[in-house]
Amino acid sequence: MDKPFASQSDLHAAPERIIELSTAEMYAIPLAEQAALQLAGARRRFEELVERIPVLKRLAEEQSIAGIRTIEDMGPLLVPHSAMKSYPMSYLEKSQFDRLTAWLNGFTTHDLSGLDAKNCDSIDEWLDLLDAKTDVRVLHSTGTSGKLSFLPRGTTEMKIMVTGWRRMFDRYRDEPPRMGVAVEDAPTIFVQYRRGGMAQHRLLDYLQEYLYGGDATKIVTTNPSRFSADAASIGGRLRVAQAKGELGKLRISPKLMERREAFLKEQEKSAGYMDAFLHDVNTRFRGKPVSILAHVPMLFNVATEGLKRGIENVFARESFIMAGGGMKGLTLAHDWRQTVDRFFGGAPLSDGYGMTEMVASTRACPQGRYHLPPWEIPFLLDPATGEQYPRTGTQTGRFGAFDLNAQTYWAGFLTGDEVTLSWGDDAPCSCGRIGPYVHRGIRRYSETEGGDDKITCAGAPDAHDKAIDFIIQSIG
Amino acid sequence: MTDFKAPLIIRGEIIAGTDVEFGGRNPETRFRTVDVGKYLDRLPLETPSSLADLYTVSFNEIVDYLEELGRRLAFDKNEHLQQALRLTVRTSGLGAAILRACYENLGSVFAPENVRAMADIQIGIPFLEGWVNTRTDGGTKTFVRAFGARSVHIVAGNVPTVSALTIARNTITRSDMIVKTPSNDPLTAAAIAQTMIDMAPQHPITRHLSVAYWKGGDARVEDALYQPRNVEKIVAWGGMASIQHIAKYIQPGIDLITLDPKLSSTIIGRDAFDDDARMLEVARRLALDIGVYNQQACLNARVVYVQTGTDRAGIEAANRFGKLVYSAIQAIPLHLSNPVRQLDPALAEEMEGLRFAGDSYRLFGGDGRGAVIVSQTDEPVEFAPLLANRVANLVPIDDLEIPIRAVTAYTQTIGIYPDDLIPKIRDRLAFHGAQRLVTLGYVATRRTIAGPQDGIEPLRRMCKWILNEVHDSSVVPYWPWPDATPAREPARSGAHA
Repeated sequence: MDKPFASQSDLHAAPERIIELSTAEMYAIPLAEQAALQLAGARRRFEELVERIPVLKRLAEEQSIAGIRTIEDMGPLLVPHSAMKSYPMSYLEKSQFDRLTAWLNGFTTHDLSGLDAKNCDSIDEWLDLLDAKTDVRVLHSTGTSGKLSFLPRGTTEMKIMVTGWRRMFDRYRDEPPRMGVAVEDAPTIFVQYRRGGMAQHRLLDYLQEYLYGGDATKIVTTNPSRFSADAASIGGRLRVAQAKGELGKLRISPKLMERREAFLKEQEKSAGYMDAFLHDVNTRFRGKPVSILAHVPMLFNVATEGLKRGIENVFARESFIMAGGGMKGLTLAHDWRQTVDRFFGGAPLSDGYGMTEMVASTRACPQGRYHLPPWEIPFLLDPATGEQYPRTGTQTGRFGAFDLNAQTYWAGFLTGDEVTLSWGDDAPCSCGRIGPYVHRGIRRYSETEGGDDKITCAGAPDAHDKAIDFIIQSIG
Repeated sequence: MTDFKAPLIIRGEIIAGTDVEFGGRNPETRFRTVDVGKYLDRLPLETPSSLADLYTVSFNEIVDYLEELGRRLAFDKNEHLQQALRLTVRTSGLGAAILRACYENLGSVFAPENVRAMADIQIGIPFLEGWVNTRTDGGTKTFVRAFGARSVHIVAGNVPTVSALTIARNTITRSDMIVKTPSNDPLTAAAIAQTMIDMAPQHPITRHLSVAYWKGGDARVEDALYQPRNVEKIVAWGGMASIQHIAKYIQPGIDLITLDPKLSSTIIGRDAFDDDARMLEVARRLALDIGVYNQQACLNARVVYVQTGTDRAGIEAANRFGKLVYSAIQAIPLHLSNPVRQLDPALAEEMEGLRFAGDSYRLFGGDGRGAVIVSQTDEPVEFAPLLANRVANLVPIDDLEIPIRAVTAYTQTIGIYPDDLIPKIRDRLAFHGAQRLVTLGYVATRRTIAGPQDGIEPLRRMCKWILNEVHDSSVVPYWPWPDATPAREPARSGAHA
């Protein structure tokens, strides 16, 4: 790190520097000090941002919160994740990007009021305009039925994402290292598009710049082109319309339809890209440790393609494979793990818990728990009433978190996840890390209660939407 | 462990057992039952000709049987139904008062006037009772008769009435039926079957009803059962996932009748906003279409198009109307509609997001008591398919073209105001996919029991329609044989049974 180690008082004044502590240092902070650090940080963020972020100001007024006296005061200020896609869909359908900008302006300290987005014809153009003219780097989701979430991360926090990425590779006490070499010395492989506006694409840009000193050859992807936000959105809208039998009613400008054609043509090249990718990694990195960013279905696809071409055991066993995100609703072949191991060379698959709204995710410890770093303040709420649970013991509830790293947007979010959380006070983890931790077995509240067998006569298109969401996600 | 037990019932025999436990994540919604997998050899009716005993029963006797069944389903005297209510009150999205009212009315489904209306309007009683001479053309006579079939019914569990209606329909058609119950109502169909066994254990109608729960999609059960040698008709209510599972068993010899999951909407013409008194009246009618059965049913109003106009005055009128509708929803009596403890989680997340949408929507309410979301443009919310628990979306419009074009094959009912608008738009609504058009306010409170459903006539579809053609010798098959002398006409017995 280029900055010297920060003292405790520094950290109270600059909570974004907690993440600069090594993993061992971070998880050695006693619980009471973590709480003090978090309260000071939260108070500071609230004071800095309440007048500068319209959405926060309104929330604070509605909840009559003038200041943060206790950490519980932050609970009512958590923003539900659905807020990040609360704009009307017609903004995308009718290319009303000036209105979309005005909506986004409510969530960030960066002043977007001067941005002229009237002439944007597509989400990609709008993202490019924001990149070119502002310090906002919007992270988008793939979205359900074509509606994408937009998180206005700033360049400030983008750089912190790189620090967060480094943290994953810190060695903790005598646990085996996550990778056989220093993070800068291994290439990062992403088995998807190189460019785009999702968190991973953006992260790659910053890793190239701030981790690899601008060396583009250290980032390897299965597809060198751009993941188009429009393609994701239109794909979703088209499939929803098809499913409903109302394709004729879909509103997509001809210009965008042309771009979709281009996108599909690009997709046709993907077999060629896959050949090039496999050849590249097999020549340059054979037997070497690499760092791989993926989820299991992606790993399985690449492994299948590789094995088809007779390529096996490509990387060193000391490689790092990030395989979070679960199965994404897919049912894989029962022997998927063997397929993945045979191709990738048998490195362990590292699972974690994180979300786009937080700058970094957390990897499971040897006990299979996700320890939250002190910069991430957890909240656990009763899913029915929204009441906060006491911050002690072990409870199951709706998970919320505040990311102390964020300085240009309000990073208190309420997820839709049901999480079992131990606050770390009465049952510390035997791995030695101090502080709250999340147990495995996270699920979404919106998953059907009682499975598919709870039959009602109402519904339908929504069920399609869910399937479609998935098709879009697997475009990459 | 749960105390609820769903018996397996196979043609008059009650098989009690607690091999397996099913239900939702919430322990309160769980129940135990017999492993149907052990009884797969007995579940289907072994031969189609075993339906013959149902043909020893006349239609009038069927009516009498069902009338007596209806009487025995009196809720306060029927322990089976009382037990069913104890479970559905936990698994259903409906409050105890509504459910109780549903159970108290369950017997009326079997009332003679209802049974006769269903049979006569949807099939024609003579077709059930014998061979009907449908046409005579010279020496050619055609006869048609509606026969029952071996059927499986995959019923919805959002309202217990579905189980009763299914049993009534099946009995009218003289079919053998296996009811596959849903996890949100595994007991109502079994309660009716048990009442039939108490009443007439040996009666052919009792002996052609089976009720079972297995997890929808369980290949062990379904691979064995859904074969043309076992089943001729599968009637599936709701549940996209369940219908997709079943679709893979469809092959020649199996007819799938889907009562697909549907959504409903509302069109309110300009006249409604003429004066305050009228607006209040319309708000109350709309509240009923939204709120009755807690908006759990396919027929409930969800997206409501209001022709207030979209200029400032129009939006203002829509907002005023939204407030009235929200108040009216709160005033619906508890036996028709109730607040819930919490909204469905997926909907709740979307509602939370709405607060951050700037000035695109105006929101009245938003918690378990329900909500009215008034769009400030002519666009519905994208999460409209999730609307439930008395959450409706009012969409102001200038032109009726917008709601007409929004209709799709998934649209079941459209409530319309005023009535004189109906003949002007009903054909076009039907072209786009709408399946039931109703005066505003009557969508959920009144429903014709003997009408088509979801664009089809399920009772007709549930029958096997058999054609008999009889030609006397005056009709030459193709050409006269050379030198043939006509045979003597044999003595004819009446083909019309």
